[in-house]
Amino acid sequence: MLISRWSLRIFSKLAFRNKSLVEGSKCPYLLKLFEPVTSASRYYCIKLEGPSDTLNYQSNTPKPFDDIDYDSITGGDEETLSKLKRLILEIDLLYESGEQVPSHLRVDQWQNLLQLSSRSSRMKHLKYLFLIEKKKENRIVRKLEKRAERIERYENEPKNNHIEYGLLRNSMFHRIYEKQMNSLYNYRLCEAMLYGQDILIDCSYDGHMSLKEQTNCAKQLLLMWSYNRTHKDPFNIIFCNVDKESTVFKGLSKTIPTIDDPTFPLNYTKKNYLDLYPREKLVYLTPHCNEELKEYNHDDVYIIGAMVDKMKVEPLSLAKAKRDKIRMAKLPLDLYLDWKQGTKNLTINQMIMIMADLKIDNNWVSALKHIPKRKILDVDGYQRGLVGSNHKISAKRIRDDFRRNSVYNLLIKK
Amino acid sequence: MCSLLRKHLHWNLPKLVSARQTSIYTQRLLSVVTPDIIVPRKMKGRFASEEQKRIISEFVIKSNSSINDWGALKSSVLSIERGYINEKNINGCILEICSQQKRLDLVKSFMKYVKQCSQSKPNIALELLYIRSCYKSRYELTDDDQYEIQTNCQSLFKNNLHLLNSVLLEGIVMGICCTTLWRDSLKFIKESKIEGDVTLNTFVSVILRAFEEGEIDLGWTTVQNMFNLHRIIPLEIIAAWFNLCEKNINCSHRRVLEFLRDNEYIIRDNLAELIRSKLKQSGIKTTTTMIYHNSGKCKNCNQVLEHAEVTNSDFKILQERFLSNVMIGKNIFNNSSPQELNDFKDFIEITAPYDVVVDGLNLAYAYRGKIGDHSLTKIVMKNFIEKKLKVLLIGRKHLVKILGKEFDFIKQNAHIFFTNDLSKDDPFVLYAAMYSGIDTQILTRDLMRGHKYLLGDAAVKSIFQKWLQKHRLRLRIRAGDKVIIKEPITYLQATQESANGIWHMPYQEFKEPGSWSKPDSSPDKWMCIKM
Repeated sequence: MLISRWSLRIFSKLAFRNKSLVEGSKCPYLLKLFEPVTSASRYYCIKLEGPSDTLNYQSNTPKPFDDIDYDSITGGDEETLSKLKRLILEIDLLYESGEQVPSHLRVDQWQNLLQLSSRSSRMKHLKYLFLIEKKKENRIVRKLEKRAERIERYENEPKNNHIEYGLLRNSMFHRIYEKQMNSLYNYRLCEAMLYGQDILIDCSYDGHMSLKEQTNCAKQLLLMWSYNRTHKDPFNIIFCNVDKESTVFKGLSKTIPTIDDPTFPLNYTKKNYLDLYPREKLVYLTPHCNEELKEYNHDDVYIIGAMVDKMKVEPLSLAKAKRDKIRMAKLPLDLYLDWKQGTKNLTINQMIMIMADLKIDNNWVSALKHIPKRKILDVDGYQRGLVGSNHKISAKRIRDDFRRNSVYNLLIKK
Repeated sequence: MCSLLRKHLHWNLPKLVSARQTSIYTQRLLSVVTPDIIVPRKMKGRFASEEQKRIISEFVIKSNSSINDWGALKSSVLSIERGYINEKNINGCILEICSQQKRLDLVKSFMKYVKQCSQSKPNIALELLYIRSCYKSRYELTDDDQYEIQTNCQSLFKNNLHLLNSVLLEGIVMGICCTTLWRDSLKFIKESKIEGDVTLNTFVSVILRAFEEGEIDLGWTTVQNMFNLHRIIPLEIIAAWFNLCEKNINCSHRRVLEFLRDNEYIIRDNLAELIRSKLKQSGIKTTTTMIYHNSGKCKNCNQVLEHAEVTNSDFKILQERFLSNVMIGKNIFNNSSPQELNDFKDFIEITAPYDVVVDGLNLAYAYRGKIGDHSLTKIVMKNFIEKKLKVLLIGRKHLVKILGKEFDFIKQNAHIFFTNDLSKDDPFVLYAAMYSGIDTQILTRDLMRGHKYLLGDAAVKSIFQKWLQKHRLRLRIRAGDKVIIKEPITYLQATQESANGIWHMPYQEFKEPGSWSKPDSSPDKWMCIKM
């Protein structure tokens, strides 16, 4: 009888879980799988009896944070230590009054909190961390519930003595592992490095972003890189002006631990883009300039600024390009789309999606489909199509209608 | 095999399923399947914690005696598992809700219970919460309580002096303000060395106590300190001051108005209503009025308001601050380029001073559609030139395209400076007006609020506001393409006293978020007060 590898894994884990149930009475806070099949209770995760006793006698009043690693947070600095103690007192107070504060903070989270200057920003950050913590907790609970459900289903399935076919069972197809797909994608990337088109990512805006924007930027860079490798004709992405100590790059290398491996297909350099390419070839893509990109020029090298500006929009990339005296261009969004709401700055991964599609056939209509639909006025807003046709008049009418309706809505609200 | 199967099906289907049965079957498919049992909502997250809070507040409202079964309450709250309240923060939550309901007896009994349970001192956070809840019902405190709070506060301050933060200080000051030693609070604030970071509530508790005790000077100096830091005047303070006025003959209502006059602060709707009702009680007549823009006369009493003055020294400060903060900012390339700025400086040095600086692009776009063709710029410029004024037109290079034929006329009769298409033109307009002298006027519809913000300091901002208000010309377009240039507002838009003892006080109305504000940034309403 054949049992596939997956089900084997589940059963082995179950066995481990059951074993730990017996042993685990010593460690009180462990989440447990509580007899998933037979039990009728809704939650399969319970805390062991023990802490509930403390309610009545409470040998010492509990403090929210008792396991703080002072040395690694402050690095032995006296001033930061006193600052940290103040911060702990503040957070204790918030915690006691029932605010939404996470029950555990990591070393880097403490360090981030220390950098925030105002109380309200600290409170906001704490709430953000709290929500993340709750999300993680809920995810674990849901996972356990699902696993229990699955095991129940397997047990109740009618057994036959023959070979079992189906999902997670036997199959006539060979399984394609993630590793195989990875090697294919990486092969494509390597090919692009040799023969493909170059695109530059300017990572020099670290100082202009807040912490949240920096982490957001790192995530966008990761998304961009991963989209590029799945594309049928990927770019050779080069990260330039990279500071290895910056938060953005740290965030990126945290999600890609093998970023420094010699075989890993990601290029980054400390050099400026002017050192890499001649000035005439470079084109900075910035939303603040007036020039519109007519078509993709294969001789040019395009630069995208790795910047997220959610809080205040400053024409930083424009200033940079102006200082370096390189050409600038923006996407012809007004020519091809009817904009509804939101800023006309796009995320980094959207930019790569658009540029990659544009590179293939220079077709703006299909390339601009990567812009999210909520930003566009009409449902069929992507198909405004050719310039100078009659569509333009109708687009104006649509926009007027939209404005008029929004005024009516305001009046109705009042 | 496959074909066999199909054949089999084909042959059997009509026999198996008759016409009536199939129709029933499809109906059942189309109908929305309603679940037989409605699943109760999961007890987790926000829902669960609201439930927990509800249990506590019900308990607090219901209980009458001072002997309560706190343990039972705790265990019933903690039985809801996935809420935000847990063993660590339940004490604080219960205290918070007790103080919200202003139940001092419950607060005390709960503190006693906590002390019993832990057999040691409760931690700082809980103690602070206790002090805060005592402050909320401070008029009910007995002498013993006051003594206890006093010793608590003093020991808290002594023990935590090295790591005082604003919240801890707030709690300590609140506690000490309940007791007779409330004057120590000022000492505490001074010794804490975080004077730039003291919260609003700290000041408010000191001021309220000072006014209750009749300490006028101490109270008003603290109000001034608070205002310098937070730029806000809470309602309670003014109410407390008026209460003091009723008892004490030496204090008068004028003090509030004088404070507003000295700080040039424009109050909100609710505070204005409070002042109006209190003045009415003491027999002073107040009327809502408006001010005529061009003359500065009050509609009610026909008094002419004071002139807004910008002194030369103030103007110099403004000039310097403007160049460094707005024109150059963090990075000159954001707004312009060094080359362009130098060219502009040279240009101004040669051609200044002007009588009027015109914001060309604002003129072209802000009044777009009001006049048939694009001749507005020409009409306005002609208007100025006929008065023999020296005019400077500033715009971007693409303005030439918009102006078209009229450009030749303007070119011959006025000075023109066009910035690059990628530069911002507003800072150039302001810069030109400022550097050609204090009498130069601007023609624009823009209120320049963004540039005002960049100036930073509140004092410099108010200088800028006055200067702009005094020098900003506006247009009014009547039917038949008649263009009138409106003179700027010259009177002072702040609380002021006229010669014969009549006060004028501006105030802002409450506005729904997203509603329009006035196009000239003047206060919404005025109050005429006859003392």
